[in-house]
Amino acid sequence: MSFHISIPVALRLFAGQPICSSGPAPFAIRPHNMRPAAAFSNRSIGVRLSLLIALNSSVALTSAGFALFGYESFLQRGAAARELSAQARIIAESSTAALSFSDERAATQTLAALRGDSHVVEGIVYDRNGRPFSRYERAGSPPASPAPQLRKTGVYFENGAVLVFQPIRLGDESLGTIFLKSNNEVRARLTQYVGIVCLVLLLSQGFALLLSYRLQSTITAPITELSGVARSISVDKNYAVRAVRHGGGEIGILIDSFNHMLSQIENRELARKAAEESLRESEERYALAARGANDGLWDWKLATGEIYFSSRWNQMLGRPDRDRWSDPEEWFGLIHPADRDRVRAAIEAHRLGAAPEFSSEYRMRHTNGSFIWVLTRGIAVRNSEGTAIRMAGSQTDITEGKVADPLTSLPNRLYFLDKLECSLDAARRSKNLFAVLFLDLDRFKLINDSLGHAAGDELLTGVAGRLRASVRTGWKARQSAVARLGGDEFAILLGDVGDAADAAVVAQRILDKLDPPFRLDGRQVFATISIGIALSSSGDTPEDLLRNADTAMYHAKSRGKARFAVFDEGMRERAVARLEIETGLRKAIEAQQLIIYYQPEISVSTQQVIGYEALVRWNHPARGILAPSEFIPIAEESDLIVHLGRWVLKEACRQMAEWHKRFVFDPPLTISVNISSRHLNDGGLVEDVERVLRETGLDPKCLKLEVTESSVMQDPETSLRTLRRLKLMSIGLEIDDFGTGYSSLSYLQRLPFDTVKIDRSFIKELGAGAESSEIVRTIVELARSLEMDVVAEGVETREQLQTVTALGCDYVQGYYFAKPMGAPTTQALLATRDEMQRAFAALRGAGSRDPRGDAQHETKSRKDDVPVESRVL
Amino acid sequence: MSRRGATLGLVIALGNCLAAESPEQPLDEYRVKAAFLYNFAKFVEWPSEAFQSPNAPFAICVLGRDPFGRSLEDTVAGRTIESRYFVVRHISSVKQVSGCHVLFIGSVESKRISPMLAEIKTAGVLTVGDSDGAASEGAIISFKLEAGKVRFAINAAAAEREKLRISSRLLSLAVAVAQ
Repeated sequence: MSFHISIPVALRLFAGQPICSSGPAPFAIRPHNMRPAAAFSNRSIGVRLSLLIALNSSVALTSAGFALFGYESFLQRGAAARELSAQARIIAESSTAALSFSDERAATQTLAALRGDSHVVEGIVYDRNGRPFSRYERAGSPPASPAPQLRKTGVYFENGAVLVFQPIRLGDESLGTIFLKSNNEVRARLTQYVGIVCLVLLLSQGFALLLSYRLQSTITAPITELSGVARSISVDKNYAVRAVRHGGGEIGILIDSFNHMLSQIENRELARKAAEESLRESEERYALAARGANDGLWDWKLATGEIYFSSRWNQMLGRPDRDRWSDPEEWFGLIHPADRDRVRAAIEAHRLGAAPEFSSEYRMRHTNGSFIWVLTRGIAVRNSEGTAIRMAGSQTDITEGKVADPLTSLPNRLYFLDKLECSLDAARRSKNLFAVLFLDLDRFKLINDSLGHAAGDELLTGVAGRLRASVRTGWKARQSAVARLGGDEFAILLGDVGDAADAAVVAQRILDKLDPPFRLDGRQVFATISIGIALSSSGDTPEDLLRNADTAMYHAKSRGKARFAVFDEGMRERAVARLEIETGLRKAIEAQQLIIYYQPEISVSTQQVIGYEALVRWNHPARGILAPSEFIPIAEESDLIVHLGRWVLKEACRQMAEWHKRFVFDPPLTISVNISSRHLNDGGLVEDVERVLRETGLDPKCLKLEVTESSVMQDPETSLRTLRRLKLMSIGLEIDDFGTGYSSLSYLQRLPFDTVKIDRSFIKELGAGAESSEIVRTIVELARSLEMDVVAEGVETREQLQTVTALGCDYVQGYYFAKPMGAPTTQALLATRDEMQRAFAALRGAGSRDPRGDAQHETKSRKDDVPVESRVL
Repeated sequence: MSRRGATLGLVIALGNCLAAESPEQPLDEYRVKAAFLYNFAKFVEWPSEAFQSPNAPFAICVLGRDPFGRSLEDTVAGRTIESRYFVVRHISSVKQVSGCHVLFIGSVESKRISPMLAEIKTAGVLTVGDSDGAASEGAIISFKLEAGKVRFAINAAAAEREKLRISSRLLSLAVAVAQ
């Protein structure tokens, strides 16, 4: 900050601005063109005062001297003139007769009387014609000169002498003129007088000077003392000093004011020092804190549009440190274009008072070309009108927290998207391809739920390590990146790939790398992963690429997991279709587009249909009848499945109750309804079942609920509680798709199931090898020991039927007997059976029924509609 | 300017006039004496009874033969003393002296001046004799020539008798005073 002060001072000094003459400014005075007034004003007050007094006194004395001299001269001349005129009159009077009678002698005698007057040096009587008639000259006077020319009557002063010309009259008659001339005594007297006056004047002047010198010191001494005090204060900066007051008057007031001013300065100085000290401490503390926090600081003067960046601020962005004000646009220019408007808006919102503070996370370009994430906070300083005049705050580099996943230390989604964007830019320029791999752990939720979150986290960390290792060793490491997108999702960027095959090689290597089991919590756990691959040519934005890879991953997963798939346009279309299904399905329930198909369950021993499994179909307005596999997995991704399941439950129960009213079979027909894992575990299932039974009036014994093994395993405790409640309601419980889950067979005994349904995949492979037979046999034996019935699903051939029969399955289901059928067809079949049952009853009286004949008849009569039924013998 | 010129012209004219009376010219002797007669009037104080009225003219009388020609008339022409004009009268006998203030008695008549003076009964007549001894013989003033210059003598006693007061300045000019 020091230069902010020193520059203006230096400028003022060197710009040659007039510096107050009272100040000690050695080079401000330029003597060569100094005017006298300036010279005078540069003297000390004492000298000036003395000079002024001397000037005044000399003016006064000189004026007085002149006046005295003038008056004296006037008096002297007047006296001399009067004296001489009187003489002249006397002579004139005395000369009248001499003139009248032209008696020169007499005239001369008359003039000779002048001898008695030493002042008169010359006397001449002129006759009436102006001719000198008689003349007198004093002895010892200068040699006679020609008689002066006759002049007009009057007194004249010439060369210190007085000349009088006076007419000589007798009565009215003019006889001539008398001329008298005095000596120089008047002049001599005046000269003497002037000398005395001058002497007095000089003495007075000297005395005045002496006096003024003595007097001025009484005025200037306090001022000199005062200025001395001021100077010593300006040198020593000791504001505690006070000037001593002598007497009153203006000087006294001046000294009082000066001291008062000093007091104020002293107080202010003390306050300033204290404030400075506390400010320095506070600044130090803040600087320390900022350094400790590794924060950059900025200070924006809104009024002038200047902004200061701390060295850390610059360093964060790789900018050289600079000790000057910058343009805020430099800042905005470095902000990522996508974030710029947002940051500006946030600043503006705070500046205008709409937001209590400014805080924003955004990206800024580092000089090395990459973007860093920063968190900038700021607070505006407002003036009395509330207008923001200054804004300052901190800037923190949050790149690490922002782009790194704390669990695996891999870069996060944010970073990955940035990286994708950079790579897209580069790819557009270079026309090179890169690949995005989207990875999702298979059945991670299951692991997490069954082994706990800690184990799940451990697994994720382990997977991350293997992914990193496989990419580091498997591909151009510098151009690749591994990131954790969130949950069990990972992504990998492979730079500069030739085609999809390059990426496929890496994907396969990753799959291989994940083959060895992980050790979690003392257990061996196998983790597989599904990988979707998208090439950079498949999209224009990072989001596009990631979505495409996700789609491909989904595809891989749907094809059986632990594999990879490369994205193609078809996948996208399918993904879009899936989205359409999800949205359409929500409306489908209300629009009554859902219908239920019924698949018979056949007793192996009696060959009779003992009940039906309710299977939902969607009568799509555009695509016709859709199989459950086309929309149930999609519905399972949300609570849509619960709505759907609830509807199916109700509709199936309603239908079966209706059929019970129409037809009476012994044992009564059962209805099996599939219950989703969400419905089972998220509550409400028991209440739903109770309500449906109440509303439909269906016998609880005729309702069977099918749940899959994995549904139960997702939350075994809750499931168990729910199942037990259902069991108490006498509802039949079936475990579906048995054999595919992780649960051990022994787990089964804890669960209150009545029936086990063996998954169709085992039945399908029955013919291929002995292994499947063994599995089925084991299941059947287990079920037997637990007193459970066994249902074989997906029986499609006679051989399969014979095998499952031989293995001891109680019931079968499958195309070999019947495909699922709509309600009307099923009802028609039931009606036929009912008819035949009645007919047999009538035929045999009250005899027993023959279900086989029943079936045969049914087959004959409805051969076209239900071809499989014909196999029921 | 024009006024000064006029004044100067007057002085010159006056000069010419006086120049004609220069005593160096013997022919002008009576011209000087005429002027003297006039001047005497100025330095002598007459008793008030000498004049019939305050404005009565001042009479200069010439007894017998007139030696002045026109010069006496010229001298007094236009002049006044205490607002009295001058008149010049020629008388042939002392008996005609009444009303005269100055009586000039020529040199011829001066030979028998004493009897003539005795005949004058009227007081207040300044008698001026044109002969050297006239003052000694009873006239108040007598002319005489000294080195070509006209001079005069005054008989103060005679003047006192005539009740005339003669100015001391006039007296100081007189060469001799006969008693």
